[in-house]
Amino acid sequence: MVSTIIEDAAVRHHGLLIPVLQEIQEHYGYLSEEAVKEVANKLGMKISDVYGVASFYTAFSFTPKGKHIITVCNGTACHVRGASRAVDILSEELGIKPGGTTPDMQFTLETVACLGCCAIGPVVVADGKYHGNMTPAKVEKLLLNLRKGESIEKDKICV
Amino acid sequence: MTHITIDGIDFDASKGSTILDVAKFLGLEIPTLCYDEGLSAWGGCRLCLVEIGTGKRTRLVSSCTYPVEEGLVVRTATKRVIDARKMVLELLIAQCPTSKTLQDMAAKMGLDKVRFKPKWEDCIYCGLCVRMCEEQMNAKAIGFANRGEKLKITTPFNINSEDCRKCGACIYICPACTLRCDGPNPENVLCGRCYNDLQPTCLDVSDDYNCWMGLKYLNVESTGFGAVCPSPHIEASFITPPNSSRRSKSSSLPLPDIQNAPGYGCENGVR
Repeated sequence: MVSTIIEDAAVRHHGLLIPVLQEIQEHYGYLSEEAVKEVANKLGMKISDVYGVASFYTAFSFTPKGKHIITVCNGTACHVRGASRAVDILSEELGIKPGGTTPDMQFTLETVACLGCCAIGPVVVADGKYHGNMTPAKVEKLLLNLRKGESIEKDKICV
Repeated sequence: MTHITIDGIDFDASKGSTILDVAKFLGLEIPTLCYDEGLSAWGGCRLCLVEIGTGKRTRLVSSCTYPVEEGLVVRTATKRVIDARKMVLELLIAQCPTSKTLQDMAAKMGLDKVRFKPKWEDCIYCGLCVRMCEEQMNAKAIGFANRGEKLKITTPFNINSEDCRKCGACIYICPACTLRCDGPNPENVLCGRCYNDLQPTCLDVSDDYNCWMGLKYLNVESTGFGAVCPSPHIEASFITPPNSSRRSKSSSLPLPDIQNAPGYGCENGVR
C-alpha cells in the first residue's frame, strides 16, 4: 500500500522528498515509521535524512491525526480578537490540549501562528474550511456541526 | 595561487584553501570547535571568526568556510574579532558548562564571566557527530531532528537505528560529552582549572575514584589553589583557595602572548 503510493508519487514528483511525504501524509493522516523507512528506501536516502526533513516541518506528523482537524489561528490579529477563547472552548469540549487528538480519533486540535486572513480573525479552520469572526457561540455551533457529521466543502471560506 | 594578506603577512595561498588553512600554515592561532580536519567545514560554532576587508567596510566571517580570494585582507585577532568570539563562547558555555573543551577554551581566551543563565544541556549542536557519522563512518545513523528550540540530534524515531554500528565515533568527537568538566563554579559556570596547570587533572585520577573529578591529592602549597570534589567518599573534599575565585588572576598561567607573537601585525591594534 505505502509502497504503491510512494512509487507513484516519486515518479510524478521526480523523486523529490517533500511532495512524496505530503502525499503519504494526506493519504494516511500521518507518517508511520514504516512509511518513512519505505520512502528512504525508495528514494535512495538515509532514514535519518528523511526523518530530519519530516520532523522539521509541522505539516508532517508522526502520530495519527483525528478524522476532523480543527486549526485555530493564534496569530497577532486573531490573538487580540480573542482566539484564545476559541482554543479554550475547543480544548474544554474535546478534552484535549492543542496538538492533541481525542481518544476516539475524531478530532485533532492544532494552533498555528498565522493563516494570512487576519481581516476575518479570529479564524478557525475545520477540515480545510475557513471560519472567520469566531465568537465562542460560533465555535460551539461549528463543533456541533462537525459532530453531527455535516459535509464540509474543502478550502471554502465561510465568514 | 591567490595572494592574500593575513595579519600583515603577504601570502600566496593555493586556490581553494580557506582562511583557516592559511592561518594554520602560518601558525596563527584561530580557535575552532566545530571544525575537524577530517570532516567538511560547517561554520556553525562561529568561534573561528576573523575580520576581512579594509577601512570601514570590514566584516566578520567564519574562517573555516571562507575560501581565499585575490587581494583578501584578513585580520585574525582584532578587538572586534576577540569580542565576538568571547560572546559566542559565553553563549556556548551557558548552554553546556560541563564541557571541558569549552572550559579550557574559556580559560585560554581569558573569559572571566558568563552573563547568561546556564542551561546545563549536554549538546551544543556543533554537528561534529552528525558529520562524523556521515562522512567518516558512512553510516548516517544520526541526524538533526525538529527545529528551533526543539532541535536535537537523534536517531530516527529516537530508537536504535539499523544504520548504527555502535562504532562510538560520535562520542569520540563530541566536545561536550567526551571530556566532562564537573568542576564549574555554579555561580559563574566557569572552571578553567585544567588549563591553568593544576595537577593532577581530572582525567588523570578519575578512574581511581570512579568519578570524573578526582582532585584529591592536590598540592595546595605549590599552587595556592584548592579544588571541590562533589563525591562524598573523597576526604579532602573542599579546600577553599585563599580568598579567591577558582580562576584567580594572580595564580593562573599567563595567557598566550598574542600581541607580541611574530606575524601579529595588526592595523586596529589587538585588544
